[in-house]
Amino acid sequence: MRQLLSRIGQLLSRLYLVRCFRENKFLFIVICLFLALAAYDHRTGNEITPAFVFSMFSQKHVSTQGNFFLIRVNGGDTLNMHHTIDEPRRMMIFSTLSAYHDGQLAGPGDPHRDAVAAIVAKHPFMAALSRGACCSRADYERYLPWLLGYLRHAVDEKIERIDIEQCWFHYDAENLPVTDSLKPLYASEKANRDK
Amino acid sequence: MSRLTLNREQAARCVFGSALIIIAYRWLTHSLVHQWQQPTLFETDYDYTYWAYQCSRFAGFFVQNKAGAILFDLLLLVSTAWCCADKGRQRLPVLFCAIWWSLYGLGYNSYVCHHTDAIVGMMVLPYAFLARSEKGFRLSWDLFRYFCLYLYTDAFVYKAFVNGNLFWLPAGVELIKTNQSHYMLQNPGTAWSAIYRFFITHEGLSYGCFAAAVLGQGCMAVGFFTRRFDRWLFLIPILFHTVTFLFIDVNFYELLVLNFTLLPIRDRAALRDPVHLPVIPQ
Repeated sequence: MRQLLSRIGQLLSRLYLVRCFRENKFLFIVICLFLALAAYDHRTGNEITPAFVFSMFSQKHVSTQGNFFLIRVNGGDTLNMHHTIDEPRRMMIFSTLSAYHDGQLAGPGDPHRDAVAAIVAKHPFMAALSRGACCSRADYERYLPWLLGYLRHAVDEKIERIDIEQCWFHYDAENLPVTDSLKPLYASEKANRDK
Repeated sequence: MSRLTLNREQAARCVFGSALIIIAYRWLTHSLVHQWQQPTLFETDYDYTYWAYQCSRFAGFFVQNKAGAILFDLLLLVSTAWCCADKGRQRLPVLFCAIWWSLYGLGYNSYVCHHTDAIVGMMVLPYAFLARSEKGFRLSWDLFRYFCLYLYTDAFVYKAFVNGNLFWLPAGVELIKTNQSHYMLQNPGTAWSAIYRFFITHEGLSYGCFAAAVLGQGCMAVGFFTRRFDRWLFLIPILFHTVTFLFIDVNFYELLVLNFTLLPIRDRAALRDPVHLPVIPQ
């Protein structure tokens, strides 16, 4: 019996958390905090720490139809940044554009503002911190000139005008994408900025 | 791979050397802070870290100000190069570099309005080199090894048990359809479009590839119980991110910096004292 207890004691002492508790209390607290946050993450479905984004690509989603944004440059060709290696630059363009469009549909304004207001109503001590939670209307108004400026900087200095369209498509019987329609949404021009 | 081991200094060279490569990559893809051109929109979701980041005056000075943004990138480059050259031996530059990478990750994820795991490795790993002693370093290095294992294991658990798309036959096809429709419509005549069409029309094959990739993620859980297979686990994220890079248009190669934690760490003393060197069977 004593041998068994001693064996269990040996095994426990080799556990990482036990070693941490013995050798570095600060690290132990950090780990416990992370585990608690991760558990809260999973329970609420909300992202709690920037060091851990969970559940990516795990949804069951059937895409019978969809849409994406096309940026027409100088009234001619559409911007074609197809290579995955270009992802950081593409995200600066298309992810922000998607956020802008969501904002336009929601008001215009930050689509999260009602949810943030509800959090503050429930936890008034979050009021000060919540000032940084949402974009203002002015942020949305400055977006299109910014996008044009970023494209001029990151893609081609010769870009003078952009027209943003939404491309709607569906998947045919062979599961291949077919364009249904193009809907003009926004435009921005260098000389005369927004329209 | 039997000789592939790291000591603390080599680990520092690997991590901060990779960070320099990431800076070069980010510069080439116009995504360093001074290249953002003072963005206007940001996303915080419900993560209070982002709320605090946007609430602080930090973003106002280092992102919204052109000179501040250039200064931020210069400090990021200099501190990373310093830590790489110095092998992470001085704690102050390491602390500065670690904080700067965390702020870069916060800023990037916030201003692209999409939170991803791609830059997470560089946001956390430099903190391992803050340990004073060899023992402390091993402990914190192990922490990030477990963190790396946890990222992939958690992704597996979500796909297998929470949202359950591992047991859903159209999963492979749907991932390609969702992420490649833009490419296929804009570039219909290319070889890659033909490859995607082939996989979309062969649901079983797509599912097989998806299931293999997810099971690979699941295999990372083995690392919680033994280190014996770490050298093989080292290969899984590389293969996994190559598959996602090619088929679902997601570039997570920067996250591979966490892979270094899967390589065995040996004492600095082992380099000086041949008695400590591992015996390689003849």
